Amino acid sequence: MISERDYEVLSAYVDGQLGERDRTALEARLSDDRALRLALKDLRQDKLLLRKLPTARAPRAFTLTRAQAASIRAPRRRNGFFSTFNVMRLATGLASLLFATLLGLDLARTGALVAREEAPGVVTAGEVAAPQADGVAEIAGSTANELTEAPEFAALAGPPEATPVEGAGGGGADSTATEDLSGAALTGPSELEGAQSGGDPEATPDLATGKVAGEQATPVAETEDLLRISQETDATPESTTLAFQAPLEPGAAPLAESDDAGARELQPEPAIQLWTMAAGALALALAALTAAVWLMRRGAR
Amino acid sequence: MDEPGLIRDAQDGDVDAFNRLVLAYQNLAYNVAYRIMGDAASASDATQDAFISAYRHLPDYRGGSFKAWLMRIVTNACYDELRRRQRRPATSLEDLVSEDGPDLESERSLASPDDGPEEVAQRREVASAIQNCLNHLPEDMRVVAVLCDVQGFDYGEIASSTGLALGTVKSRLSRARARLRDCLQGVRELLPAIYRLSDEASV
Repeated sequence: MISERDYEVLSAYVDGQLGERDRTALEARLSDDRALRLALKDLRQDKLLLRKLPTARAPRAFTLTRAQAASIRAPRRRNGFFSTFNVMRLATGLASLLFATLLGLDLARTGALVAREEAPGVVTAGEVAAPQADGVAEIAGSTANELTEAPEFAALAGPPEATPVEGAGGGGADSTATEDLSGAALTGPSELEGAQSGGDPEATPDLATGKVAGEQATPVAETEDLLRISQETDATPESTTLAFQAPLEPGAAPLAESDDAGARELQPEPAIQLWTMAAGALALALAALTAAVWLMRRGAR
Repeated sequence: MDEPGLIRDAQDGDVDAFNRLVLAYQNLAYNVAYRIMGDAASASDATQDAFISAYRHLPDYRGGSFKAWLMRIVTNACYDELRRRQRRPATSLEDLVSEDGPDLESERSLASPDDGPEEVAQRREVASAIQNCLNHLPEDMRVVAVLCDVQGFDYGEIASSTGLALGTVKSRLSRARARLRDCLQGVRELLPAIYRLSDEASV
């Protein structure tokens, strides 16, 4: 009894389908193995039997009449450029290209948004409003700007923001910072207003301290400004919300609008995303249909 | 016969060109179907279906071996016919006769006109025994055995005609032959001399 593997090798040998090495190896085995030789003999005998079967002649002609042919298919151009398959392929390619383009645009926009948000040199309204101010004034201005942009976070951001305001007042106490204090006081009412109103009532004594320090070091005009700040500091939390909504100083307002406009410009564009998704879905659907057409054609062949 | 030209014309809807291709290949197609199906009526149906399918799908033919392309359609038509037969088990008198072997009308067509009555009877008996063995093979093995051992296709042609890989053709054919060997064991000793290999040549 020979193995299935040996029988497969013998079968290929009978058909002349063995490679040179396998054929030589088998012939060497055949000279020693009688069972293998008998199996080979039977294989050849059966192959001859089947090959000598008489050929069956067709009992009739299987030709088609014109009516039959017309009912099977209408004459058409063969494999032309505008065949279904080619049209589907072209449509799939165009849809994919559209998808890639829209995706690229969307990604470019997102990248610009991220870059702008992360850029250290972004100009904020507060910074421009007090270009001469030192670090303390800048912090106050920036804080005010942030609070102006996001009033809904004012209550949360309030207590920490109170410190810069205190610092602004304290800055007035520095004899070398008269101009700084003046700048902060002159250009920053709206910012300070926001900062103070964002602060809790505990900030008031600190501001009062700052006011006193300012009185000691600055002229009367500046003292009046600080007094005005002090009066505004007495505002209730209810008025705080209103203060955030109050218009900015003339110098700061255009910049704040400009910043808002930039933010609006960099908002994710829902229309582009919608079109991108639609193009992607279309490309996928067309690719699936094209594959189905290809498989049908392949099956027919 | 300008086969490529006929194919091009038939693809454009020229029925006469297609019918010339049919006449050139119908004996081969019918013979393959007959050996796979085991009876003349089913073979005739499968062959007709195959040529209708070929005409329908001819515009999609993209070159290569037309014979292999056509044989693939024929074998697919045979598979379809076998499936139809399994769904509707044979109950007619004609089908009952067919179960015992190829029908007599087909066997007469298989005989050579030069044969005497005794030789005709002998050939019919041998052919009937072989066909019975083929009929008892699983369908996938039967198709490969018919194409290789009955029709003489090489492995490449069989792979093209069945859509199988060469390795699959090789192993499937080996298993088919192993089964045929067992089936033909009892028949082999009764074979006429024309079917026997000389012992010296074989062992």
